[in-house]
Amino acid sequence: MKPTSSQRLVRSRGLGRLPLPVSVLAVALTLAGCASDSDTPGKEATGGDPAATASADPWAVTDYVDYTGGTDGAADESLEPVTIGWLNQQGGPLGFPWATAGAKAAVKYVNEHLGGVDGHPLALSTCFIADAEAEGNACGLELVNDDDVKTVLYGTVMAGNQSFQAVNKGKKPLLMSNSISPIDAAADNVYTYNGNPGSIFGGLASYASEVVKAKSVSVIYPQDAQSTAGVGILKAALDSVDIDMKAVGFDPSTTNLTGAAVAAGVQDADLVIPLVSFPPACIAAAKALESLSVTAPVVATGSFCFTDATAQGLGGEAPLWHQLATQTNVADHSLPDVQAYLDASADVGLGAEGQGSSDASLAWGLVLTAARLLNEAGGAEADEASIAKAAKALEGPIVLGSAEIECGAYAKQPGLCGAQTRVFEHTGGGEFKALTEWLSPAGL
Amino acid sequence: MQNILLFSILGLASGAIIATIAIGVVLSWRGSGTINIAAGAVVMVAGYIFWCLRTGYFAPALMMVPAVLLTLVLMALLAVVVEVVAVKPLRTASPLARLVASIGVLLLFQAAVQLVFGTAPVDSPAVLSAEVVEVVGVTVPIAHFILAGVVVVLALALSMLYRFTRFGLATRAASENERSAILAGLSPDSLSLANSVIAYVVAGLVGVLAASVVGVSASTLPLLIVPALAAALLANFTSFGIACAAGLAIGIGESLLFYASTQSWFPTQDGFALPGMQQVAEFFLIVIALWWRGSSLPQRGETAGRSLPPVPRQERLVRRAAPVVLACAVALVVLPSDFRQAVTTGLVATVLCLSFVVIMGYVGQLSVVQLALAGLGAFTVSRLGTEFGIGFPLGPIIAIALATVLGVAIGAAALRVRGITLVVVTLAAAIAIEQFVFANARWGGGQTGAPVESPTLFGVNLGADASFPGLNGTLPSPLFGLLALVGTVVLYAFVANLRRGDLGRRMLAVRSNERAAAAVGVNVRAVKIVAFGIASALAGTAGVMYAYNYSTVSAGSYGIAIALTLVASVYVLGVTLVQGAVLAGFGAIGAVVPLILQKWVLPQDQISIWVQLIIGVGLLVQLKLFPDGLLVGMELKKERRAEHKAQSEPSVVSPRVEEGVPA
Repeated sequence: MKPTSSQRLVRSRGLGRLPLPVSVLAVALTLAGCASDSDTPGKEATGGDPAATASADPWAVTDYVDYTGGTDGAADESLEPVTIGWLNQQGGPLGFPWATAGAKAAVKYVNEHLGGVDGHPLALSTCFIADAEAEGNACGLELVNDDDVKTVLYGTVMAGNQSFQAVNKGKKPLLMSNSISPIDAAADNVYTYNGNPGSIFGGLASYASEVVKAKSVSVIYPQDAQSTAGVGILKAALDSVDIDMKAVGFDPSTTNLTGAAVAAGVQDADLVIPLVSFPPACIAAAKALESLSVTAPVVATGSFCFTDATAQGLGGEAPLWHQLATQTNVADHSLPDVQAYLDASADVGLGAEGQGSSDASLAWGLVLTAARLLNEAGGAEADEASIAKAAKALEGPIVLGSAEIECGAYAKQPGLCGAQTRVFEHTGGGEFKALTEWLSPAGL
Repeated sequence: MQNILLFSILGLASGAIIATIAIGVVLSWRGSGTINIAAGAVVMVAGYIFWCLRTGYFAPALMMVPAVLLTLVLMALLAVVVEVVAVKPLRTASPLARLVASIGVLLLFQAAVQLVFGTAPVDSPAVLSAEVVEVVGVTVPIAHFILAGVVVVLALALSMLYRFTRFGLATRAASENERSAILAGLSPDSLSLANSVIAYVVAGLVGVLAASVVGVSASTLPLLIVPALAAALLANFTSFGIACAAGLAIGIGESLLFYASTQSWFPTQDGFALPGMQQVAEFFLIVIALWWRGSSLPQRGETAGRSLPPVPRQERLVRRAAPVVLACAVALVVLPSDFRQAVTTGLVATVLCLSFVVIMGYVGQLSVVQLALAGLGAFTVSRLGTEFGIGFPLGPIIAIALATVLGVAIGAAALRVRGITLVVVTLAAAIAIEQFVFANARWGGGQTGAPVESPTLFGVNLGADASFPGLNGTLPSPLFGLLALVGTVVLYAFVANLRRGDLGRRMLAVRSNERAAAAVGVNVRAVKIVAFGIASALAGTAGVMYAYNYSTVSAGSYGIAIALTLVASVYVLGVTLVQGAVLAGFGAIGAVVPLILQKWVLPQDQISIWVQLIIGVGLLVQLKLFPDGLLVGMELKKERRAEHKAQSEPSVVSPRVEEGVPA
């Protein structure tokens, strides 16, 4: 059964980062100036005080012992460890080391406070991709060939995904928070619990249609392989809700996007979507839209355009756009699940910078989910088949994620288990506030 | 008409930066005869230096004017350092060596900036006015106009400097004939240094002014070298005015292309403008410029013989290669899976590097399109298998044939140019293929790459996932690696023997002197075309092997940065020797040397940037020690020793004097 639209009303503040591929993941809404305007479509749709319902999150996961099915206390270090694989992109020009930090912190927490996996210590076998596709193959050989590795978790991975899966060929269950490609969800033995391009762009279409009430959308995108494919997915989603889209591609090395923005009609559109996620492109897009004094809402997918890197390139402040996210925003400390995360992760040494990283919080949630699946699949005796069965049967809520999880809800993408998104507004200084409830994707 | 005016204005800022880089290229060519691939990176460095000074990154922040002035002084000092380290030592080296040195400088600058300042772009404080004007209902920053105006003024000033001053005349004299210039009391070294300083200061000034307009990024600014090269080519590498005008026109054209892409007549795919049209347009612009200017491109009269690297005879190859082949065969069975894969990747890369040996080493044509041709072969294999059901062996044959045809077509387009200038057209071709083909979701890799079916013959899986595991019982199967080994050995022997045969001698004759070769009856054009064909077929073969090795193909594996690094690696190791291809192959991304570095030597954090830094520094050091390449240098030493020995023993046959080998 498809999740129904607009089921959740969570109000949060902070950065809900959505690490998708370098260019497929950007969605956007409003520009800074009008973001706090109470007349903005986003606000109109949600209404009320976002903080008012913050404590009423019925799906918020706060009891990790209960969630993982573990026991209160430490694992028995004398027992053989239960090993899970960890694949992440780091060490290159575009890296996400906080994901690994979050995963390691979660493993430590499982071992020190959740009784490990059926009493056995949980161990992480890591493999990193710096930036080359071929490195995914090397990681595949390392992790898939290792009989001790029961399942492989994806951190934030932009390159090497396809070559990793070419080695795995469905052999070991692959657990992901966000997937960079719809292909993943159609592959064997892949379980995506937060979202993929189809669900994210579908969420954008829902937002444009249901919240902004847009009739026309303006898109600029780099003409790389990922974004060119991504804009096609976005168009299909917008077509499904009868919204016109005018998209203009640009050379990825272009430094000035003013011409592209004008050609895309940003000054006349109801909604502007800079489909960019690489900091230089985010900066170029922000400069162009600012110089053109665009008044329409600007919405970006993911967190790339809200990172410190982008903020640094814009003089210290990330663009005051709207952001489509697939996870609970960990910057809102008033939320009970966020508080649980902050307390627990601090307990195992994850610092404030790491806690604030959405890569780390996604990894934290994924490792805890993996621990739960391992416990359900037989603990130390769990094998690939039993883990896959548990992964497929998982229901929400998940840690720092949406409430509804259902693998197979989308016939063409059986591996897409979580597909809801929601929109936040960057109000400045790294502060975010929720503009919408959880949205189900259109056209999926 | 209004829209054309509007988009023309919107392209001024981009055009100004391209024009500046083009002017830098012209200055480098005039000063030292080098096509400076690092010219875009120089603008980037200036932007970062200014940002540091203004924001107090290292020391207390400076005010605007002192920061600008200090930036220009530091850029001048940087020019001196680069001249001393990477230009002056290579003044008597081959043009290839100097070009590779500029690639080394590019890699070094980019890696150093990313290590010091991080990979994130920075926002430089504005120097130019923040005011805007309204043009056809659209607000346009005045800074765009000012930036373009500054570049035009600089171009005019440089034109006058080189036309009416003694320094300019001296530079032109040295550029036209260094020997005569020396006889006239001029110092080519000093002139080269002065020109470099001017190039860096000009680039620095525009870099500072443009920093706040377009942002400062280590990943985008260096890539603007490609359109800048097109502009420089149109300017015949000599005219500042034309370089400036062409650069501005390219920027404006890029902006107009945005507008055109929204029109109904523009080529589309799935309702969107075809990606890569800009790069394709730039490629054709360069080809047209070459056909127009090709025969009159300036050639420099130089003090020393600026021949290409010597081509030593390659003897006792079986004895030399046998241990390596045996070691590879054993490694493919007994090593852990990641090393087995790395060995196979090294073999594949060796085949690709052999194509450089043919086209660069034997014929002297600097082609950087080989990696793109390999990608074309790889994507073709993928598409033939997944969409048309054409698998092994017909699929690879078609893929290699396609890569060969395209390579020959590119070679034919550049027949009127010689040697080093070819880098411009092949660079543009490589980027056009990358953006127009590989980035296309339908033709190329799409979102995450294209899958490749394993090769099977008579029902037997020959791929990396064959049922014949390594000694430790894991994949990849040694079977594919062993087949790759056999293929590599065959192609290695073919390329080595090519040099000995009639065709090889004709290639060397063309390489040495095209006119002389033509005078003795060698069909220069035919030899070049055949060489391009062979090199392209080798590249296509490598692409097919790569695709089967990884069972997937992605656009990121065939980027221009990787291509340049590979070209540089082959050169410094020995582009005229097949052994050089082997060493470069095993040092390529995914092969054995990087794996060792990754596993045991370099820190995991920012590993790829450290690798780039090492390659950049390594190139410059190696070029200083062995300007013709490591193996070539060693081989020549060996030959000289043998020659010396022969001279001291009259009974021995007289020493060999091969083409390009100093007697």
